[in-house]
This record gives sequence, C-alpha cells and structure tokens, in this order.
Amino acid sequence: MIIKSSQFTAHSSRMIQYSTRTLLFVFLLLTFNCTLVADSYAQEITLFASVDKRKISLDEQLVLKVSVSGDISSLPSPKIPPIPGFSSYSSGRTQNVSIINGKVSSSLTFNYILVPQSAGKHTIPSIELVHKGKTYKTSPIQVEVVSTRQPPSTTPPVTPPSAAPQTPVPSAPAKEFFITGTLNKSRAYVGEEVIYTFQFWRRTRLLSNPRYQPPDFTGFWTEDLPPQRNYYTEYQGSRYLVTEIKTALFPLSSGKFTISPSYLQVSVDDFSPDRFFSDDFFRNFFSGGRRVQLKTAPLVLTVLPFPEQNKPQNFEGAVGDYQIKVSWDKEVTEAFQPVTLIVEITGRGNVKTISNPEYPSFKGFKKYETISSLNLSKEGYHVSGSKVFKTVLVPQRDGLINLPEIKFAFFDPKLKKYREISSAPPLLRIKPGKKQETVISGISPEEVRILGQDIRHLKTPETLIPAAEPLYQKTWFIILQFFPLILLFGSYGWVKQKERLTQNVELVRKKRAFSNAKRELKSARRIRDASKSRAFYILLSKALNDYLADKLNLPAAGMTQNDVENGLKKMNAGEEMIKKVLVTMEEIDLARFTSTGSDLGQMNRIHKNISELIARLEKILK
Amino acid sequence: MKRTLLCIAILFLGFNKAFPGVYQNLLEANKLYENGRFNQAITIYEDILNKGYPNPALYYNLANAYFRTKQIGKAVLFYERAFRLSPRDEDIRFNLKYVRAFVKEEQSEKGFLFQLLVKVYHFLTLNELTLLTCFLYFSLSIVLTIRLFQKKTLVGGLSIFLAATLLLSGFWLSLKIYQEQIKDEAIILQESTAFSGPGEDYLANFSVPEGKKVIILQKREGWFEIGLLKEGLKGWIKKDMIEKI
Repeated sequence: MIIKSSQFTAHSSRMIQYSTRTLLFVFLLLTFNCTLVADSYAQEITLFASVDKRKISLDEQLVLKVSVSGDISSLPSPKIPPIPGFSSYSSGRTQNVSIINGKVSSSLTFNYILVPQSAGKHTIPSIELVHKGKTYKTSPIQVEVVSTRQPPSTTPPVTPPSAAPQTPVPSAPAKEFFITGTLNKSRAYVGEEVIYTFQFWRRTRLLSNPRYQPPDFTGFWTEDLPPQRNYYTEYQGSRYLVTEIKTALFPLSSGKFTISPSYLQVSVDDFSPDRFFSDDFFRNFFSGGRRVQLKTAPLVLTVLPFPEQNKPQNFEGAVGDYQIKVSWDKEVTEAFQPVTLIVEITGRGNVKTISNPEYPSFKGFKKYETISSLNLSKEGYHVSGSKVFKTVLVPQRDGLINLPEIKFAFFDPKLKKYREISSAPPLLRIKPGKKQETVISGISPEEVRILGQDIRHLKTPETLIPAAEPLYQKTWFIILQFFPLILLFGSYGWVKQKERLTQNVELVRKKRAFSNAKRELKSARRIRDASKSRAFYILLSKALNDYLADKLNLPAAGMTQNDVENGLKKMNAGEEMIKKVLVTMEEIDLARFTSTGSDLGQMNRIHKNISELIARLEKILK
Repeated sequence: MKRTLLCIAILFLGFNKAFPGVYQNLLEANKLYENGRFNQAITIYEDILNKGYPNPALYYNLANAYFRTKQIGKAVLFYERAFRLSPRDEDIRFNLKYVRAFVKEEQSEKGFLFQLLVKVYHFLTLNELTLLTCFLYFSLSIVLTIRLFQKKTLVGGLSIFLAATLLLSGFWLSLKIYQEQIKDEAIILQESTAFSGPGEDYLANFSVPEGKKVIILQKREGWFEIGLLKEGLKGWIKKDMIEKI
C-alpha cells in the first residue's frame, strides 16, 4: 500500500538557447526513462549502471544512468571515474522517494551524457560508491563506437585555452575559436555575489548552434544574468566575435570551491588557412564540418565565513548593501479599520533570500500575517532589487501611534563588516471608530474566515481546582436529604402524641392504667407480711379498682360492681372474664375485712391472681 | 466523600503548593499557545485533563487551541464543557457564541422573555442548583418543624413561600439533570453523513456539519443514532465522529 509517493526531478543543467535541441533530447530521455531498475525494497544500497545504447556512432551521444537506491532518505552520490574514449558531463539527476508502510525508500539516478571521442570498443569502468564503510561496484559496460561516415573524423578535440581566474586572456596563439570561463573575484564571503562569465571567442563560421554545458554550480545559489552579449573585439591581431553569458553566484557555505569546467560543442567549417592543405581536408570536406568539444579550465573560489566579531543579534544571513524604508499605507485611519505597515528593503545582493525584519510588539493592534513581495532587477549584470513586507494591523484604540524603529542587519562584503539599518514608521493618527466585523481578504485561509472579531484569549487561573462531580449522585448527599424528613416527621409524631396525652384524659387514664396498677402491685408486694395484711389487701384492692376505673373511664370512688360489669360488657370482655373480675373483687374485699389471721400463702395467692387478672385484662381492654 | 474532603483541604492549603506540577504544565501550555504552537499546547492541556482536573479554565484554553488549529467541532465541545462548569463566565459565553457562528448554529430568537428565561436557566451550574434546592428543602423542613410547635401566621407565610420556591427550583433542577445527565447531548467532531440505519449500507439521510449539537438517542456497536431537534431529523452516524459533552 503506497501512502505517499513523490518524485522530484532536478536538473543541474542550464538550458541555454545554443543547445536547445540536444537538451530537449536529454530532457525527453530523462523524463521517459526515470523508471528505476533498482529494487526499492532492498535493505541496503543498490548501485546500478546502465546505458541507453550499446552501439553508437561517433556523432551520437550515450546516456549513462547510475542509480543508487536504498531504504534511507539521504543517499550518497557515486564518483564517476574518467571514462576512456568519452568525454562525460552530468545532465542532472532524478530522485524518487516513496514511503511504503512508513518505510522510506528512495532512489537517486544520476544521468551523464557521454560524447564519444574516438571509434572502437570502449569500456565504461565500474563505478564505485562507498557507504558506511562498504564499497559498492557496478559491472563494467562494453560500448562499441562506430564511425558512420566515411572517412571518420580522427581530429582530436581542440584543447581550450586554460584560463586562470582574473585572467581571461587565452594563452594560445590566434585560434579560430576558444572558450573561457572566469570569475570576477577569487575570494568572497558567504552570500556575496560572484559573477561567472563564460565567453566564446570565434572567427569562423559555425555549422550549427553550439551546445553549452555550464559548470556544476553545486553549493551556490545561482541567478542567470540575461541578456547574452555578442560583440566583436580585436585579439592578437584578429577580429573575434565574442559571445558572453553571465551568471551570478551566491555561495551558500564557506570553504574552498572548485567550479567544474564549462563545455561547448561546436561544429565548424574547417577552412582555416593552416588546415586548408592538410591531409584532413578531404575528410573534413566529406564530413561536412568538424565536431569539437571545448572545455574551460576549472576555477577555484575561496568562500570566507562571516566574521563572528560584532555579529548583530538579528542578523539572518543577508549580504549586500541595503536601505530600509518603513511607511504606512495611510497617515490617518480609524480604530478597528485595517492599516498596512510597509517595510521595504532595497539594495544590491541576493534580495530573494532576505527574511522578515524583526518587528517590535504591536501593542494596541491586532496583527495579521506578513506578506512579502519581491522585485528583482538584473540591470548592469548585477543582482539587485527590493523586497517589500506588508503587515496588516487593526488598531484596537484611537490616538497617536508612534511605533519604535524597525531594524534590519546585514553583512556588507565591501566594508567587510556588519551593518544595521533602521527606520521608524511615521506617526499614525487613529481616529475613534466603531468596532465592526471587517473582513480582510487574502490573509486568512479559505476554511476559516477571520473577522475583525476574534475569540477571547486564554485564561490563567490562580489555581487549578478540579470541578466537583454532580452532587446529587453522591451517596452521602442523598442520605443527608433524609435528615429534615426525619426531623419533621419525628417532631410531628411527638407533638401529636403530646396533644393526645394532654387533651384526652380518658386516653391518658387508659394508657396509664396498666403501669399504675403494676406500680401498686409492686408496692403491695413489698409489704407482704402477716402483720401488715390489712394494708396489703387495701393496696391490692386499690390497684384493681383503679385499673378498672381508668380503663372503663369511671370514677374510682364509689364504683359499684354493677358499673364494672356494665363497663366490661361494653368493652366486649366476655362473660367468663367479667365473672372472674367480679369474683376477684369480692375475694379481695372479703380478705380486706377479715384480714386478721391471713397467712402468707394466701396473700401470695391473691397477689398472683390479681397480677394475672390485670395482665389478661390489659390484653382485652387495650 | 474522600475527594470532597481533599478538595476542601486543597482550598485551604493553596492548590499551587499542593500540585505545582500540574499548574506549571498549564502555564507552560499557555506559553506554547501564545507562541503559536497550538498542537503542542493541546497535548499538554489534554494530558492535564486526563490526570483528572476537569476545570472550566482548562476546558476553555483547550477549546481556544482547537479553534486556532481550525478544529471547530472540538472547540465547540470543550467550550460547552467549560460553559457547564462555569456558566456565568463572560469569556466562555462569548467564545461559545463566536464559534457557534462558524457552524451556523443559529441562536434561537424567540423574543425577549424567552431569552431571559434561557439566561436565567443557564445562570446556575448543576451543583449550585442542587445546593440551592437542598437549602430550600432544609429551610422548609425547619420552618415546618417550628410551625408544629408555634402556630404563628408569619411562619405559615414563610413556609408557603419556601414551598413555592422549592417547587420551582426542584423543577429547574430536574430539567437541568435531564439536559446535562440523562439527555445525551453531543457535538459532531467532523462533518459526517447520517445513514438511515447503523451501517454504511443504509441510505444516506443527511449530512451534519462539524460542531453541530445533537442528541444521542441510541447506541449500537460503533454507531450512534442522533436526533436533530430543530430540524426534526434522525439518523445514524459513526461513533468516532461525535463526542458527548
């Protein structure tokens, strides 16, 4: 399952109108042949070399592809050894990165154009790559170069004059054509502009457009400096037509850099006087011209790092000579109305890489994103221009606003020191305005429209107390709710009871009858003694009489047996019970009045009888 | 009970001293937010919440961070949670209203009286309302108890007043409990399609925008039946597209 697959194609080759045809061919080859031979699931690095043809003619070219693939994202580059019988130059590389199930595998294909120098069987030697101590090799490839035309051209290529830096003067005596590559300085700081000038000198007619292969400017930020110049000039007594192509280079890091040679392939008439009578004349005549590969000498550039001394805090790597200008898009505005702060940095240098200047904090303003625009000029074969940073601000209050200076730091290679420039925005007058929803277009992404209104800012609480869970779900809380009910109903019951007791005598008497009787029986029991038998019986009699009087709601004094009988009947006491009560009453009375000589056993018996009787009555007469 | 005691203890001791780590985390997350690193801030806020600190300010800050990362659904969800815990907070109300405008959740405009009623309804949190009801209930009980012993007209009038307010607050409380605890209100986290049954094979009924407040009616494995009260719609959507407030 492929989640993401991306393909990058990078061409380090520079397309110049000289060689449109060839480059188109190369480009097509690159585009259609970028399918990879390498196994992208390999655990290690795989190195593979292939050519598009095994048999070519002298006027053809060969494309050598060297693929490196492996499951690492940054692959090493192989080293191409000199290939005998060919002159080779790089024509870019293709990178393919795929992430399969989270695993990165990438392959890098380097393309080289091989131009045969002579006919015959040639061997492309094995290409080596050293990665993590392991050496990877490709197998050598046999290529046959045949000469299609008769007779084959055996002219060796003209060696271009070697041009030392700062000395564009070719050393060889007057030739029909030669090329030079020069730098305008041999020492430069990181980010400083260095001009590379390529010159093609000729005094013969060309049969076709030459093919220009610029050097590999790896390690530099490049800017083409058009237009290409053509002019005539005198050199060693001859008149030459010079074609000049300039490129601005900005070193990206410090160190010693070697700029590889430029190449130029030309086909020329070979009617130069010194060759006119040579043996090659007829061959040249039939071949219709001479194919020559020209080469410049490699150049060395020393790139100096930025001095550490006096390096400003806000230095972001800008190099050149700049001016800063800060302004508002209007002098007077209203509160809650957007106003634009414009910072313009103008000057000579790599303007493209200038980063945002450091802004002060915009108090009282709502700040939106800063948008930058670039204006690049290549006048006079130098890179210059201006970068404009626009920031939309919405004032949140009215009044006069005087913002502090905006500073920008850069390194001036001419003065060899850092410089800090600054400019303060002019005074801005903000009139009171009404807060309204102002839609600022072109600033916010589509999905969320940023209105003049925004959400309120973060809270910073003094403490961080977790919010309580719902109380009503807590057991203790639910239990607590029963207390008022208990209180209410408890006191209600108590009050009611009290009312009954105080207001209803009958009930009180009824209620208290049993306990009174029990108490009296108890005190009678205490004086159980033959000598006190009279008092004992009086107490017993009182206990029973009082009990009955209370229960039947009758006055205790003067209660007759008849009253008792009627009362008990009313209470549905039952015949037997009534009889027993009456008998017991009589018995006590009798014992009371004839008490002398009563013995203890009798007293006990009667006491027990009465106790039992009252207990039984209590059950009936509740 | 233990937890309540702990909370009270914390209140007296000062929280910062008791749990400096969590509070520091909050400050750190706020700083990240202020530096525009919203996603990192979200991670920390969520972490604090997972440790068991449901705090309205925390919910609010998290919602802000979600809003900044344009996750409107999550923002609405956490503003709603913050609102429930702290309904009188002006900032929370403002931001909730603000993000609701993004999801086109129209504010009901049913006249001044209705709005006032809604405002009063949202004035107290669930726990505050519980305590108020509880207080009224206790007072009424005490007044009635006093009345048992002393029959005075003043006490009688008071008890009638207390009974009436208790009835009202009880009604209010039960409504709140229903709305916040029983009725499953949820927020749509991602724009999704509602089907007529719990499965993608059913007919697609309608689509719900991110941040919309809905009611969960039923739960099946991996699917929720949602109801849209105002629109009068019912449909099934995937469980992970939605989160309960």
